Amino acid sequence: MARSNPEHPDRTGTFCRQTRREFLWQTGAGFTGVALGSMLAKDGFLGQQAMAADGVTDYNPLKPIAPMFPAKAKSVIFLFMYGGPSHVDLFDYKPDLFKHDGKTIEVDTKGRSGNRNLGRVIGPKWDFKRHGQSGAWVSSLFPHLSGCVDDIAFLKGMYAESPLHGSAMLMMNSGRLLAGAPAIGSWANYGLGSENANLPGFVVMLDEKGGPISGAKNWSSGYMPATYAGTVLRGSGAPILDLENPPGRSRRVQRHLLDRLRMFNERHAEQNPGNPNLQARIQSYELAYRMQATAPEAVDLSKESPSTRALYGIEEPRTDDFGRKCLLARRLVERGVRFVQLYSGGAHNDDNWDAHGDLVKNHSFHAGNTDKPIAGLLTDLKQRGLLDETLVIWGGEFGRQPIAEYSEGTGRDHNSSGFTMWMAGGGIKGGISVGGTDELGNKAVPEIGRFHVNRLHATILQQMGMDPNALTYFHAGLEQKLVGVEGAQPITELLA
Amino acid sequence: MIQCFFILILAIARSPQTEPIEVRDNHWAWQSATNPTLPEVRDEEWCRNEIDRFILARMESEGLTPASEADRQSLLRRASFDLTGLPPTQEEQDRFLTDPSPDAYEQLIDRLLDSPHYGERWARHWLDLVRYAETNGFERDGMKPEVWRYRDWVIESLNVDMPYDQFILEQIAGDELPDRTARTVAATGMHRLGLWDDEPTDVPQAIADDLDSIVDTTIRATLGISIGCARCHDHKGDPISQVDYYRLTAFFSGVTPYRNPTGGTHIEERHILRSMPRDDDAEPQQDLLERHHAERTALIDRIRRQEERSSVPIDTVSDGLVAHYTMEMTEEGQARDSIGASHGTLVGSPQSVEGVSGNALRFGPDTGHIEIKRLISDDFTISLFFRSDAIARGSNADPRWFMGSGLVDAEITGVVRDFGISLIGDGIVAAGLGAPERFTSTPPGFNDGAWHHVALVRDRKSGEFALYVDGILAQKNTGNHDPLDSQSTLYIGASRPGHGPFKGAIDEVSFFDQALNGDEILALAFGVSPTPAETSMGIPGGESTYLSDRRQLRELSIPRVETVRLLSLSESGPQPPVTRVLGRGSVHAPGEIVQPGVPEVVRHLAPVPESMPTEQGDSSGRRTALAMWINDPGNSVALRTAVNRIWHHHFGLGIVPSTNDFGRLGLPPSHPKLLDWLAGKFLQQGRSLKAMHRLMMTSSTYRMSSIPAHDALERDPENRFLSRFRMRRLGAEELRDAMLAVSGELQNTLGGPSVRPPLPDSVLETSSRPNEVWPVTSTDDVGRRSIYIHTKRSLLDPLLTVFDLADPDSPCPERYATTQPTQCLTLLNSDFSNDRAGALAQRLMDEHPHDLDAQIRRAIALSTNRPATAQEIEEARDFIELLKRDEGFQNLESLQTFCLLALNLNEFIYVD
Repeated sequence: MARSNPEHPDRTGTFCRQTRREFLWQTGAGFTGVALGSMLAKDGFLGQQAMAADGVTDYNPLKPIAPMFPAKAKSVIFLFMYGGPSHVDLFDYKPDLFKHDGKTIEVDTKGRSGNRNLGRVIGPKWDFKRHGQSGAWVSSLFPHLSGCVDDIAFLKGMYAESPLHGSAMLMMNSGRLLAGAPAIGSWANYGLGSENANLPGFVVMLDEKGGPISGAKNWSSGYMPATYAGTVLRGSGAPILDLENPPGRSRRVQRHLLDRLRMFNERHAEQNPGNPNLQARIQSYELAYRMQATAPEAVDLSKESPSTRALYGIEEPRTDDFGRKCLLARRLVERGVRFVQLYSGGAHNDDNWDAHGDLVKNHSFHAGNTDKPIAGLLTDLKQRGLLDETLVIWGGEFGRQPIAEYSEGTGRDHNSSGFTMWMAGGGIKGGISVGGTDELGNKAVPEIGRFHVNRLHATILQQMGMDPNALTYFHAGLEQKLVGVEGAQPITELLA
Repeated sequence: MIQCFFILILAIARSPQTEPIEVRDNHWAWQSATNPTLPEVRDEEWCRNEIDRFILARMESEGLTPASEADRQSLLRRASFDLTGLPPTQEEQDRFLTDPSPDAYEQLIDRLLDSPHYGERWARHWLDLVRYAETNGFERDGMKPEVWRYRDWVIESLNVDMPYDQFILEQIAGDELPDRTARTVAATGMHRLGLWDDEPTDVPQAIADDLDSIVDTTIRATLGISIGCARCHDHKGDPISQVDYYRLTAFFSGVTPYRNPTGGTHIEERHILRSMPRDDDAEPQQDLLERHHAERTALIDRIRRQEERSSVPIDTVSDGLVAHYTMEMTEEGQARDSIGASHGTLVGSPQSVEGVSGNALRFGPDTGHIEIKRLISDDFTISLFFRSDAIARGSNADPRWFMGSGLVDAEITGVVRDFGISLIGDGIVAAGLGAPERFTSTPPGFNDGAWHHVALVRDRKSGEFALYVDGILAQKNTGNHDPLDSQSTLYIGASRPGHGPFKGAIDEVSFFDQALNGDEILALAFGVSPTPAETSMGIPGGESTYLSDRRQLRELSIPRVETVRLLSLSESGPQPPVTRVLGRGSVHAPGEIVQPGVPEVVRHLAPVPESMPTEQGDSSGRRTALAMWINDPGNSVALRTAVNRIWHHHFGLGIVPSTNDFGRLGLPPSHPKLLDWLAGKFLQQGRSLKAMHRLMMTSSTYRMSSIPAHDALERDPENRFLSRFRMRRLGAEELRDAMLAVSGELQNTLGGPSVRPPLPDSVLETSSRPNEVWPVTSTDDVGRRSIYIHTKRSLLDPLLTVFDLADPDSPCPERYATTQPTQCLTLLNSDFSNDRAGALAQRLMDEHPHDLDAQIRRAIALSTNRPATAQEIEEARDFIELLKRDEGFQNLESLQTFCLLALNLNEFIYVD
C-alpha cells in the first residue's frame, strides 16, 4: 500500500478520501500528530498515522507502520564521507591513470573551479590489489575494509548534477539540489515509523571537527513536520540536546515534577473533553522521561567487551572517535533506530575529505581514521546476525577528478560526473560491482552502468520495504517523492 | 453528484491537450463571488452578526447546538493571543474582567487592535507566507543586507491598518509607484527573501529558479493558487497550463537578479539594494543639487562681474604645478604635458570631443585610457573636469573610491599607500587614500551630463585630505603621513586594469606638488581670482560685497538627503527581456515567446491593465499592472484568499482549509456562501484587516467555548461545522514570548535589526563554522520577541524549531502543530526554560516576599490567566514542601521547580 500524507489528493479516490483529509486538517493545520482515536482506529489509512491517544495506549508519534512489502532492511547506517573521497584512489582501479601520471591530456571536467578540457593527470597515490573471493579492487588505504569486500556491492558509476559541496550534499541527503526537502532519514521515519519509541528514529552523528556545510539542512525534515527531523547525537557529554536534567535535578525530582504536572494536566484534560491533543501531550512527557533513561544506556559503550571495542579501533588514537560512533551506530540499530547517519569529516578544507591541496596527506588521514572502524562495524554486524537486516551505505557527496586542480601538487577538484559508493547488508548482494567510469575514472559510462543518486535512494527505500515511487508527501501542489517527482527505479542488479 | 463524478473521471482520462476548457473553468474557486442572501435561522437570539447566521444555519441543519459562550477569562486570553501573540497584561485583566459596560468585550478587541504588538503577531503569519529569512541558504548561507527593514515594513503596515490592496500593491510594485518612498520600496523586499545560490552549477538556470520562487510565492500568497506544477509541463486536471505559468513570470521578467549573469559569485548590490531618502517628504537629491548649482552659478556670475572691474591683475594658479594635460588630441599615442615633458601614453583610442577649454577626451568601454607616471606623493593637488551621464561601476551604498570607475587612479590591490578619484553608481564622486584606507565622497547626482570640476587636495604633514566638487568642499578626512608611492603609474579615465572604464569625458587634468587652498580650488574650477583679498583692493567701492560673496561661496556645502539602504526590487529599464516558455522548466530549452497575462481560468474576473513604464523610465510597469489586476474589486479569488487566511488564524482552520490552494488540488470550502459574503464585506469595509478581525472576533461563533454542547462531540466529532471553538496549541513564537511575559523578562522594544541571543554550544557545533556562525548580539536580547531573532536558514533556534517553526525555505501557509517528546525535553530541561523558571521564581519572591501561597497563586494566574483554585494551591504547596523535605531544596530552588511546572502546563501551552 502506498504511503501518502493526509493532504494527499489521491485523484482516483478524491471523493472517498475527502472526508479523511478534511478531517485531519480540522485537527489543526494538517498534521497534529493526533486525532480522535476511536474514529481513526477503524480506518487503515489513518491507523498508519499512529494516532491512538485514548489515554490507555501510549502515544507515539513515530509508531511503527507496516512496510508496503516485506522489508529486507530494518535499519540503515549511512557512513557519509563528507568532502568527496577520491574514488580512483580507493576503489575504482584505473591502470591508465598510473601510466599517464604527470602528463597533461585532454579531458572534460567540471568542478569547483569551473569547466576545463585540459589537465595534468595525477596517478593514484596508492597501490591497488584484488581482495576476497570476489577479487574486488581496493587500494592500500583500506587494509581492514579490504577484508570485507565479499559482503560489499560497489556502485562505481554514480553521478549527480552538482560538483559543489552545498548543493551536492543536499542532493545526496534529500534528493534535491535546493534546500527545503526532507532528508532520507525523514522519509524512512515518515514511511515506517521507528521501532523504539524511547529513542529518536533518525539519528545523526557529526565529526568532532564540526558539522558539514549547510549544517542542519542536511538532516532537516524540510516540508514535513519536525517529528521526522534528524536528531544530533553526541559521542560525549549530553548525547541529545536537553536530554539531561539540568544540574541539581535528580531523576527522582524529575519524576516528582512529572507526577505533579500530570495531576494538573489530567484535571485540565477532563475539563476539556474533545481535545485528544491534551492527552497526547500528557503521554509524550512519559515518553520523554523514558527517553531520558534509554538514550544514555544506548550510548554507553562501557558494557561492550574489550574485544568488541578493539574490533572498532576504540582506544587507538587514530580510530577512537569514529570507532565509537560506529559502535554507537550498531547499538542504535540493535535498539530499533530506523536511520543512523555518521559523518566522517566536518567543517571545511582538510578537516574533511576535500583534498584540494595534498591528496596523500588528506586521504591518508581520513581513510586511516575510518578504515578499521568501518571494517569493525561490518564484521560485528555480521557476527551478530544484524547485517542481514541493516543496510550499510558508504560514500560522499561526490568523487574527485583524475587530474590535478592546480599547477602544483596532488590535490584533486570535485567530480560529480562519476564516483563510487558502496552498500552492504540489508538484502544487498555482496562481492559484486555495478556500473563504471571511463578509463580515467572521470565520468560514469552508460554502457557500463551509470546511476543517478535518485536510483541509490530508490534502492534504499526498496530495501526498507517501500516502493520509492509510491512513497509520497503532498506539498506545494505536488506529490513529492524522495526520488523526484518523475520517479526512479531501484538498481536491481544489487538486490540479493 | 453521480453525474459530477463521471465528468471528473472523463476529465482525468483525457489528455491535457484535448481536455475541454469548460471542465477547467467550472471549478467553484475561479468563479466571481456571489452576493449570498443571509440564511434563515431558528435561534435569532444567538446571532450577533451575519457570520453567526451562516454558521448557525449549517449547525441547525445538522441538528447541532452551538457551545455556550466562553467565560470572560477564556475570551480575554484567546483574544490576546490571537491579536498580539501574548498573554493578557495584568492591566488588561484588571480592566476587562471588571468592566461592567455591555460592550466591554468589543472595547477589549479595539484596545488589542490598537496595540503595537498586533503588528508583530500578524506580521508573523504573513512572513511565513513569503518565506521570510535573513540569509541566502546554500553553502555560505550569507546575510541578506537590510532585510529586517522589510519585516518592520510589514509590522508597521499592519499596525496602521494599511488597506489590503495597498499592502499587496506596495509589495509587488512599490518601486514602480509614481510617488514611491522608502516605505513603498522597502515593501518589495518580499521578493528578495528566497534562497539564493552564490555558486550555482548553472547560472542562467539559478536565475530562472529565483524568478520562479518570486512568481510562485506572489501568486500563492495573493491568489491561493499553486502554479509551480505548471513550470515544467501541463498536468492533467491542473487548471494552470504551462503557458499560463510563463505568462505570469513575464510580469516579473524585468526584475534584476541577485547576481550579474556573467559575473562572479558576489551579489550585485545595485540590483538588490536601493538608496532612498529616509524621510518620505524629503526633497529629491537631484532637486537639491539643481538648486545648489543655481545658487552657486549666480554667486560666481556676480563675483566675475566684480572681478572684471578690478584694477589688480588676476593670477592663474601655477605655483607647484608639475604637469598639465590639456587632453587635446595630439600625435598618436601621447597625452601631452603642456608645461613639461611628463607625457602620458594613450592606451587605446579615446575620442576627441568638445571640452571645457578646447577639446576633451571621451572614454568608454572600448576606447581605452591614459597612463602617466606618478609625479606626486607627499603634498599634492589633483584637478580635473569631467562629464558623464552614465551609471558608474559600484553601488551608491558603498562609496569607497576603488569600487567605482576611475577618473584619476593610483589604486593597487591591498592595503597599500595608494590613492584615487572615481565616479561611483548614480554619480557619486569619491576619493581616498590607502594604508589605512580612508574615504571621502559626495552625494549622488553628478552624472547629470554637465561638466563638473573635481579636486583632491592632500597635506602630508597633517594627514588631511579634502575632496572638492565644483569648487565646493564636499568632505574632509585624515589619512596617513607617509608618501603615497605604492603605485608608479596613474590611470586617467580608468581604474586599475580589469575594473572597467570610466564612461564620459575628461578635460584639463593638472597635478600640483602642494596642497592648494579653497580659493585656489575655486580659481581652478571657475577661473575666479585665487587671491580674493588682493583682488578686492582693486575693486572700486565694492570690496565688502565682493568679499562677502566670496565668503558665501566658500561656505556653500553640497546638499545631501539622508538616505536609507533598502533590500528591494528594481528593473533595468522600461523594456524587459522577452519571456519564453521553457521546456521542462529548463532555460536551455527555450520555446515560444509569451506576453504577460493572467491564467486563463481567472481571466474573466477582471481586465488586466496595460503596463505603463515608470516616469523615470527605470521599470516596465508590468508588476503594477499585475497588482492592479489582483486588487481589482472583481477579483473574487484574491478577496476570498485574503479573508480565508484571516478566518484560518482566528478559527484554527480556513473555510477553505488549504489556504494556499483553492484549486482542484485543495480542499472544498466548509461554508462557501459565508466565504463569498466575507469577501464582499471585506471590499465594502475598504479592505481593512482590522475591521475584518473585529467582525469575526465579535461574532457569537468566535465567542463559543471549546467545550462541546451535549451531543456535539458525537454528531460533529471533528468540529467541521464549528459547533465549538477549536482549542489550539501556542505557536513556536507565541510560546517563547509567553514564557518571557510570564517570567517578566519580555522587552517591549519594537523593530530594528534582528538579534542573536546566546544558543547552546551543542547547537552551534552542528555548523561547519561553530565559532563564527552565531555572533551573539547581547545576552539581554534573550528578552526580545521571537520575531526579532535572526532567521539564519542553516541554524534555527532549537526551541522554535521543535515547536514547528515554519521552514523558511518555502512558503508556509499553515503551521504544523505536532506533539513530540522532544518538545517536553526542551520545556523541562533546556537552559531557556530553566532560566525563565528561575526569573519567574525571583519575580514571585520580589512581589510576595515570604508568602508561599501568594507566590503560588501568582504563578498560576500568570501562566493560565485565571485565579488558582484552593486545591491547586494545596497541591503546589505539597509539591514544594516535598522538595524541601525529601530533596533538601532551598526556598528559591523549590519554587523555581514549581515555576517550571507552571510553564509546562497544558493550560499554559494551549489557548482555549
